[in-house]
Amino acid sequence: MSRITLTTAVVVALGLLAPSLAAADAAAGKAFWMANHSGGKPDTPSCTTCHTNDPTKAGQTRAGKAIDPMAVSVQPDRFTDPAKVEKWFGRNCNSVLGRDCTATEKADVLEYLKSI
Amino acid sequence: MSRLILALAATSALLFAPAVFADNDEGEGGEGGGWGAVQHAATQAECSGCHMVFPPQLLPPESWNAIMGDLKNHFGEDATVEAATAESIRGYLVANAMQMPGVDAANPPLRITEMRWFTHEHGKRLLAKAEANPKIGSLSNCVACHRGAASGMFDDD
Repeated sequence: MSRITLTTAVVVALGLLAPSLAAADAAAGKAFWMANHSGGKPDTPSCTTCHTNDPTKAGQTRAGKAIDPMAVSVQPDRFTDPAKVEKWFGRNCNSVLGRDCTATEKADVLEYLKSI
Repeated sequence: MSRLILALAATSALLFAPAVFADNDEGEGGEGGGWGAVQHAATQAECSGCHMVFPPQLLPPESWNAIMGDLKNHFGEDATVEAATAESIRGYLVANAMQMPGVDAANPPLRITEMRWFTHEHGKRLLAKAEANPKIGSLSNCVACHRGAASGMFDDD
C-alpha cells in the first residue's frame, strides 16, 4: 500500500512538475480526452463535452461560459498551478468518469495537451 | 417532477412577489442601479469557474444552503471546493439572499430559472427563444443578454 502510494506520489509529482521526465503517453492522453466514458454524470460523458475535440480552441461550460483553450501551445500557463490542476482533475474526473483519474491518466492527458 | 416545480412556482407566486423584481427598483446598490458586482472574493473566484457569479439576491437562503450542501452534484457536475471555502461562500450567499418567507427548507427551489419571478420577468416566449439560441447556450448565461449582469445590473430590458 505504501509502495503504491509512494509510486503514485512520484508519478503525480513527475506528471505535474516535470512531465517530460515521466513516461507519459500523449497518444493515450488523446484517446482518453476524445473517449466517451461511462460511470460519470450523464450530461458530461467526455472531456470534449466542455473542452471540445480541439484543445487549441476555446470550450464552453454547460452554463454557457467560455473556457480558455487547454493546449499549452495556446495557453502556456495552463498547468503552472498544481493546486488548480488537481482541483479541476478532481471535479472533472468525477463528473466524467464518476471517480478520480489515475496518476497515469492525468499524466497522459497533460502530455497530450502539451504536445499539441 | 414538473408538477412539483409548477406547484412550487405557483406557491411562490401567490405568497411572495418579491418587490425587488418590480421595474426600476434595483437601486439599492450603487450608481447604475442593481446590486453591484459580488465583492466576496471566494464566491467570485470559485463560482466564476463555470458560470456567471449569480447575485445572492436571486435565491432565498434555503436554496443557497441546499446548493452549497451538495456541490458534488451541482446541476449535473462535481463543483467541489475545499470545505472552508465552501463554508465561507455559503455564509456570504445566505447573508445576502433574497428575503422570501415560506420556502420549504427541505425542498427549496434550486434553480434561478425555476423561480416564479424568472418566468414572469422574461416571458415564456422570450425564454424559449433564448434557450434555442446556441450563442446563449443556457438560460443561466444571464450576461448573454444582460450586459451588466456581472455587476448585478439586470434592469436593462
